[in-house]
Amino acid sequence: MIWVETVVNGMLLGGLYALVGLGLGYAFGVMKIVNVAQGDFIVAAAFLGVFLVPWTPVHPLLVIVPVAIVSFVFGIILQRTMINRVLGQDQIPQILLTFGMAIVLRNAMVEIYGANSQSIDVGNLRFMGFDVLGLRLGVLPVVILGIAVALFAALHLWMRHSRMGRIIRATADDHQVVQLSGVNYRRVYGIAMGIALALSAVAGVLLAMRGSFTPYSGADRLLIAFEVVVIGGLGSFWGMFAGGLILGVTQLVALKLDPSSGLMWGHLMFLVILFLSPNGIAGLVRR
Amino acid sequence: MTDLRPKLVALAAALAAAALIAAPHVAGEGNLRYVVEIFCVFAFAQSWNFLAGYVGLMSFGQQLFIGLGAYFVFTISNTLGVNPFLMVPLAFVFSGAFAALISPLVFRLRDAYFAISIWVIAEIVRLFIAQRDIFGSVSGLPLIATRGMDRGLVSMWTFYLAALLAFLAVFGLYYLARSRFGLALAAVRDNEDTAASIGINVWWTRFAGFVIGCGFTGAAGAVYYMSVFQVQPGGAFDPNWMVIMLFIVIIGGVGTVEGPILGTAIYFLLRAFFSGTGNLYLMLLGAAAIAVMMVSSRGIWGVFHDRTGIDLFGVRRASGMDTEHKG
Amino acid sequence: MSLLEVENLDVFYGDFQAVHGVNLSLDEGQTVAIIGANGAGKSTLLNAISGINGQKNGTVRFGGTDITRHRADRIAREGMTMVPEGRRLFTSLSVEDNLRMGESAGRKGPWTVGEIYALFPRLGELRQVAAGSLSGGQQQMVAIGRALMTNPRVLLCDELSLGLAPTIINDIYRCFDRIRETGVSIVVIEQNVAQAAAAAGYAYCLLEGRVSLEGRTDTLTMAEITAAYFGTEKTA
Repeated sequence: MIWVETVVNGMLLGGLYALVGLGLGYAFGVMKIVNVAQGDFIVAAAFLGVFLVPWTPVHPLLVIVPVAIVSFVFGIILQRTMINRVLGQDQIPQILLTFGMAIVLRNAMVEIYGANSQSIDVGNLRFMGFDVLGLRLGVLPVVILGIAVALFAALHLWMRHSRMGRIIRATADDHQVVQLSGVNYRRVYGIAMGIALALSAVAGVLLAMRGSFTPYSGADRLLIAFEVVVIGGLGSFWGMFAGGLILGVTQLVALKLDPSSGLMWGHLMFLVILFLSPNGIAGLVRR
Repeated sequence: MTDLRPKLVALAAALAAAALIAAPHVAGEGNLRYVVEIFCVFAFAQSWNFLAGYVGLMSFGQQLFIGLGAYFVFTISNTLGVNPFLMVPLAFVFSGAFAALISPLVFRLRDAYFAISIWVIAEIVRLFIAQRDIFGSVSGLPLIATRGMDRGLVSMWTFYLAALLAFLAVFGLYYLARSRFGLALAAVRDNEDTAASIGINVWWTRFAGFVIGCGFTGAAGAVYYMSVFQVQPGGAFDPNWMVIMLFIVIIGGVGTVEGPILGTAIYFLLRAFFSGTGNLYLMLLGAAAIAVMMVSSRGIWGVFHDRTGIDLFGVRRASGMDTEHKG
Repeated sequence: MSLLEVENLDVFYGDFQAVHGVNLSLDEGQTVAIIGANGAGKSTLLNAISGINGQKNGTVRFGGTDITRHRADRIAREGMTMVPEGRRLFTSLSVEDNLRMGESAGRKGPWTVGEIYALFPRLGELRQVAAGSLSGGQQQMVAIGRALMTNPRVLLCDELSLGLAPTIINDIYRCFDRIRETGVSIVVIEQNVAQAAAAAGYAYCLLEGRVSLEGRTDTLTMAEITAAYFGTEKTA
């Protein structure tokens, strides 16, 4: 029974990991760009969450709303003033630009907040639990998984059925040709980056509620996001979700077996899947 | 008019070699150690430049090979009691072999995904080594094998190894880039389809470039940590190595021999001025990288070359870095 | 004054100059053809006029306004769009979503999704199908429909017949009459001279990036055109 509980907890964590990857995967899917600073933005969003929680009415969980809005606006500005200017045939300038941002952001956070471990206080929600089918589960992890699933579903439906979703999908297909329909793809890219950062920001805040973080956590967050996206098959929505679940379960099971190196087994699982199927889970299903 | 540059480069190589051979006999030990560090960091940066600018493979995990080379030499020479200086060429082989081993896997990914996948492997190796007593776990290993040796001799040979690395990083890269193999690398980097159509085996060419570049990083990593007599997983596999390499290459100009020389000089000057400021100094490195990307992705040497037409070595590989549409 | 006026236009791709000093004009309601061999610079010229690619020197005036420096999306909103070479549909979108993309230009006019289905009835049956899975002819219809949905005053068409069977090409050109009825002026690129002469009243022939011949299609002789097309006027 303890193993079932570990696996279930791994899935609860994995849903959140999927959300960590979603922002990176979404930006890649739409713009073919990889924001190397994504991990550090996730951490910055968590700091913003820590800052805003005391002013958040009703319940601390709702802090994800202002953090997401700020991140959305920030994403638009970032894309339109900087990343759009270095896009081209060659991927290297864009990747190095965001790498530079990651360094600046990370060290700015160390400078401002110090290297201490922090966490977002959600009151007694953190300690509440309930029993179901003989399993003891935390309320917070379940709520967080619910938020993750809801965001995946909402993004999916919005992309399918809204006017803006259609424009974004068309821009992802061919950003040159959308211009002939009067669409400024640079503006669409701005919105896509806004969405990507908003999603990542929510993930960052939720991670900071479940556990703790330091200004240096960005690298770990980026690696998780990256692994989720590659396991999921580069841009496949539900593949990413499966990728998150696999990583979460692997990590918690490995931590139980080998308490000193659970993280390593998550990375190894990524390599194994890459070895078995270059196109990730989506590739496995298609075959 | 014939190009005199190859002859001038050969002359420069001879002069540089003579100067490097003489250096330990005229310079003090403290200065030598500083120069060793500069040479090693330059060798790291130049091997990343080789991979990104000449082979067309951008990695964010080159600290992997720094750590591998260092741990290889420390572990073997400590346990077998072998002279560590003789192990440095084997560190090249070992790191290169490791690169060969992972390439079937990581070559499945492109661009940033390739770059980060090597970072993931670096993390795996770091976590693995930090758990194993044979590698001294988190506290790392001291270099025992040199303890019985003469101090002056140790520092002299360390210097010679570092000097050899720096020499190869300039003139080796120059001759490699001009060789048949170098031209094949350029063809693959610029356009895979065209390269394949003129009979170049794209996968193997890239593979060979990757192995050589990573092996070189490994050898430099070994020399760097031999010069400080101590290696720890947190330091050897530190992603900040990547920050330094990237900074040097980006600032100087990727895909040129000259750029990273300039970049290394700028890096060590900045470090001398700002090292007391801790994080501000790292922020400065990041901001400089952003600024270069926003102004011209070709770095200071690239811009200098565009303005003046000066090209010391004539083996630039930066043509692919132009961006398509601005604004 | 013409609706579209191109004056002394040079177009560059990096260091390479693909179009040299081209003059071209299109009147309201007129159809003009640009003919020329492969690599003569036809597509480059049209891409530059539509704003989608290429650095340019010279002037492009549309409805009296200088639009030389306007971006492609703005030009589309101002009423000039293009059916690009090779159709370039949004392959992951359905037929109807492709058409509706044209609405993004925000221009009111006669063309609606219903009107497009009336023009190409086959598309109405395929409206929910992914555009990537259509045949070449159907894709070309979607590409024309998508452009018309922006309700343009000028429609630039780049090689509509590329890779299509002759009967399908005829079907596609037949719809031009209906398009002209709604007041759209058209520029077509054609490699097929006969097709161009049938569709357009006036033609420009491009050779190595320069206009080598122009005139009313009913007055140009086949010998003149052949010479201008292949650049053999000295020897012919």
